[in-house]
Amino acid sequence: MAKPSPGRASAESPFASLAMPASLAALLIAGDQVFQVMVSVQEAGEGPGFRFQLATSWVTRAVPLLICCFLLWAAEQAKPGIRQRLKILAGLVLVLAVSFLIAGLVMWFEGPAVRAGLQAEDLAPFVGVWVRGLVLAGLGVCVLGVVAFLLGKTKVLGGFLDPSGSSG
Amino acid sequence: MTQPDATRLLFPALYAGAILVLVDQAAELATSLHPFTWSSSQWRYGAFGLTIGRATTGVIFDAMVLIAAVGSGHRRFLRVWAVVHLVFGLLLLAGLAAFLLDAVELRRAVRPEMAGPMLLASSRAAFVAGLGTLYCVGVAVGILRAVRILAARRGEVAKVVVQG
Repeated sequence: MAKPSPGRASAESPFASLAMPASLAALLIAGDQVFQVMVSVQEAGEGPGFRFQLATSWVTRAVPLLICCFLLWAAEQAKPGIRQRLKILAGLVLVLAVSFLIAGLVMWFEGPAVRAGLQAEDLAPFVGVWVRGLVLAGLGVCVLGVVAFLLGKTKVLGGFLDPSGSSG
Repeated sequence: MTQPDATRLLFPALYAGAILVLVDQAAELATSLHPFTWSSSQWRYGAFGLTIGRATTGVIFDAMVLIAAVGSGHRRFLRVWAVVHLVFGLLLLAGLAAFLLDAVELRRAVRPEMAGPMLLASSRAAFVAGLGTLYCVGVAVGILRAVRILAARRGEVAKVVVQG
């Protein structure tokens, strides 16, 4: 690890040192969420029930996945300069938004088939899960779409996390 | 260290928020793990899995503390926090080793139809614990770098004040 000289220190934000762990944290959260989805659907069997549960389980990961995006964004933002990796991140977020759209469509179209196979006492909880899933999918697509758009627009970076206020 | 007023208010709020997250998660974990039966391999296996299940919230808590500490320039606290991360990384590694041994032991006793779900749950815990260890080491190294930058900056500001 090279010891920063005073001149270099003033140009570099201390937050830049935390960019790598922030990226690791994002990877950890994303991996954990994917594993959680796999664990939650492994006993769902096949057919509409499986697809519905997979879609529901995926959209309920919206918040942690959004945090992942922000962690990666902040990691790039902490380092001054032009970052091409933000474009790649924008693409990934867009893919995530599309996956939420697909999940929403699956819930919309498979929901009636799943509901038809349920008993009367299970209907109310199912409708709750269904509505929540659809709302999360819709909001997820919108928010992730906006995040992807903003990431795509971002060109010159640096400094917003700098406690000294220097823009790098 | 010159900071805008809003930022100066944000950092203590982040510390407070982080404490709330920590207490909430610790209480919930303690409740779900009680009664503590360390001698049971089944309990240890479940306990590690449940603890690892808090990884996402743990990382959020850590990010809040780090932003507050680096933003406030609390170098002494940051050094302590780096040591905490190294210790936690070692604990995670030791916990992972014990978890894998328990998993092998329980694997023999579990019904065949439960072997798949158990393998998936074990893989998840191993993935998170392994990456968590890397994360802890990465944060410790990052903190030490940040402390150096903060110290160098402080030295520059002091020089300017003396010369001015």
